[in-house]
Amino acid sequence: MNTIKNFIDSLFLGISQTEATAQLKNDLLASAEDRYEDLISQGKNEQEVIGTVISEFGTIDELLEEMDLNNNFFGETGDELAPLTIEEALNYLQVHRKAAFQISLGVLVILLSFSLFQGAVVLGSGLFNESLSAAFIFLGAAIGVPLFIIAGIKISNTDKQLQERLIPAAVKQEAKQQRAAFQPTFVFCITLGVILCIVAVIPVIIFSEGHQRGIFNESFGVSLLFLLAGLGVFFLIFGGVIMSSFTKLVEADYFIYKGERSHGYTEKEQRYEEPAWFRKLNKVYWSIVLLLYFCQSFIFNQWAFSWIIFPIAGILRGILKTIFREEK
Amino acid sequence: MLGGEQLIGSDAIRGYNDTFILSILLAGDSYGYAISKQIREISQGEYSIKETTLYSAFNRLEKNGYIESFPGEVTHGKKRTYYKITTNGKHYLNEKLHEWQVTKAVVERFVKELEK
Repeated sequence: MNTIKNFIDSLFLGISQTEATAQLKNDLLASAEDRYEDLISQGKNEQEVIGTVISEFGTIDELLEEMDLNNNFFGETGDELAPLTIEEALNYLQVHRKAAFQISLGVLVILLSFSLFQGAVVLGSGLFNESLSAAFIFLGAAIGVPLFIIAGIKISNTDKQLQERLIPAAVKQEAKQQRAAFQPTFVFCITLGVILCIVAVIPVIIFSEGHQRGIFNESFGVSLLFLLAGLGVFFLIFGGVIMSSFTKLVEADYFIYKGERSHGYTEKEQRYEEPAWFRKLNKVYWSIVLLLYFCQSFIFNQWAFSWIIFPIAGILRGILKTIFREEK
Repeated sequence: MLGGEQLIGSDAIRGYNDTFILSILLAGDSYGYAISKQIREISQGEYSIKETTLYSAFNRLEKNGYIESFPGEVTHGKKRTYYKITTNGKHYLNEKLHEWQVTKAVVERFVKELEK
């Protein structure tokens, strides 16, 4: 009986384990065992029975072809791609964890620089003038942007090596365990992030109310908004990027870096298509918004409320995406 | 009755595996081994379907909406996938049976030519 199980196991060695293939393997095994028991009960010799069961099994290629599965995978260059090893997967997860910290830190620094800028505008009315305070923003960008670039290069270098390669069941299992271990941290990050982002609005309300009564300067409120929102976004990005690195390994059968894929599309992805102009706009969307923000702020000197462009732009992008993506 | 002793080559009969499976399911829901056993019995040992051929056929028939699968009761310690014929499957079976009548008539004409 073990011989038959080993035989079927060996046929499924190179096949990516999905629910469908696991089910198929179980069904095939159950059938083969039924046949074995049936023949044994007819009083046949065990060796002969095993031979019969295996010869009646057929070829696995026939099934794989029918199910659009293949043992071997070939990349764009035509080379056969080896499945991901555990070491590569662990390295990938570590790179993403580090990059998650760098990206969220970069965002935090930039938002913090806005916070300092707003604070400096008020505090330093004698000490700094407004354009000097703007130096904080450039300082923030000087620290934050390189962090994005470093993280981005590291991620793309690691991901490129894994492109289109099979994610074996053992790697999936490891990623699943790590994801489960990270789950509480993820929930904490998202919850804290959302709370901070909501709470961030409160100082703006309080200080603008106070401003009208002549007690506070409303720029303080905006300064606190950037500080709290910055911390909130830090946690959201940190948790989100790490979580998605696990999910990528757990859910896809083939590692997808970016660009065109030859296979491995999920049903959900196939359902929608964004028009070419929208994909182009997407690449420069946030740069344009940032440019508008600076123009509007410097030209009209509206620093106190010009930040509102960011949430508006975010919502607008969501609306555009919903309207213009087309169902295939 | 052992493998390799069957009289009909799998190539000759390939197009009729779907018909065999659907006609067995027409009598009632069943699972992998029971179906292959019935095919062997009905053909009186002259044809036995390979396991991978059987499951390829299940996959194809299910994709085309001719059969549906569902998890069955655990019997003899094994959880089996059961299959059920759909209305579309019944139509398809009728078409295949008609196709067989035509095929049989054509082949017979050739045989009769030889006998003359």
